[in-house]
Amino acid sequence: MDKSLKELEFQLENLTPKELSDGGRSDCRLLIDRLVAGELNSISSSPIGLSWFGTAAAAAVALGIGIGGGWYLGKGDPVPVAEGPGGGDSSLLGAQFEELDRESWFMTETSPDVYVSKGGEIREISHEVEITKEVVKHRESGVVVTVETTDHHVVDSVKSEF
Amino acid sequence: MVKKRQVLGDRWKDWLDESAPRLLAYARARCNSVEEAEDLLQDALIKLWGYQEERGHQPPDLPLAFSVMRYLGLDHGRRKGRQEKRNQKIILFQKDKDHWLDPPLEEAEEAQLLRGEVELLPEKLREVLTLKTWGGLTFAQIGDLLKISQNTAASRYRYALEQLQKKLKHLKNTNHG
Repeated sequence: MDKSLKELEFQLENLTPKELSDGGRSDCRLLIDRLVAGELNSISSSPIGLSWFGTAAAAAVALGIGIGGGWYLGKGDPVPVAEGPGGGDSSLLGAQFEELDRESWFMTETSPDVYVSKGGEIREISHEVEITKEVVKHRESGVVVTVETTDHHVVDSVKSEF
Repeated sequence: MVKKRQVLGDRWKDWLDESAPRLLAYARARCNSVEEAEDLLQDALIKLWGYQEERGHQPPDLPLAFSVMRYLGLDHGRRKGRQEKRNQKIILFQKDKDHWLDPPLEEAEEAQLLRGEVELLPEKLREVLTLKTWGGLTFAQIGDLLKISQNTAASRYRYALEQLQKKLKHLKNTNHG
C-alpha cells in the first residue's frame, strides 16, 4: 500500500465513532439489568427476532416433510422433528436452528394508486411482494434446509410529491 | 445469587461501554438515523444474551456481536419496505448534522470532508471500511461475517480507500482552485 493510502488510513482512524446518546446508554444499561434479572425472555422480547422464529417453525415443517418423504435416509439416530405451527413453543423451536444465510428481494412493484383519505389527506397505496430465502441448519442433525417465504406488503403513505 | 447477577451485569455494562461506539458506527452505516441504530443495538443485546446462554451469559466477542448486528440490520431493512426507506432518505438529507463519526479538533476541515465522503461510499465498501477501521476486525473475520473471501474483503477495503483518496483530491482542488 503506498504512503498516501497509509496516511489516509491514519486520518480515518482519527475519526472517532460517536458514543451512545445518554438516553440510549441508559436504555441499554436498564436492558442489561432486566436480562440479568431474568425479566426478559431473550427470544420473545425481540420484535426483530420474532420473524426468525416464525421462519424456524416453517423450517421445522419443511424438515419434517423432507424426512417424512424419505429425504433423510437414516444415518444413526433419527432426527428429532419439532412440531409445526399450532403446536409447541416457537422459541424452543427456533433455538433448534442456526441461520446460515438469508437474502430477500422484491419481485414486483406496481405503480401506486392515489386516493384521498376521510380526513382530506392525499395518500398513495401500493403493493409489494417480498421473497425471502433463508438457509437454516438443524443444530442436532446438521441437516440444512432452505426456506423460501413470500410476504405481500401493502404500503400506505402520505403522498409527498406530485 | 444476587451478587453473581450484579457481577455479570457489570461485565456486560463494561463490555457495552467499550464496544458500543464500534457497534454503533457499524449500525449507523446501515441505518438512517441514530435512533434506529441505537434500537438495533438494543435488539442485538437481547439476541446476544440469548446466544451466550451456553457460555454462562458471558459478554460476547466482537465478531459475533457484529454478525448479530448485521443479521438484525438486514432483517430490519427488509421489514421496512421501499416506501419507508425513500421517506427516510428524505429525512436523512434534511438532518445534515446527524453524522456518525467525530473528526478530531485539529485538521477539522479535511476530516470533515473525509467524514462526508465515507458516509457517501457505496454500502459494500463502507461496510468493509467500517468493520476494519472502527470495528477492529481482521480481513478474515470480515470475510466470515460478510460471507466473502478475505481477499475480497481486502480488495473492497483498498478500493474504498482509493475512492476516498480520489474524491478528497478532487474536493481539495475544487476548494483551493
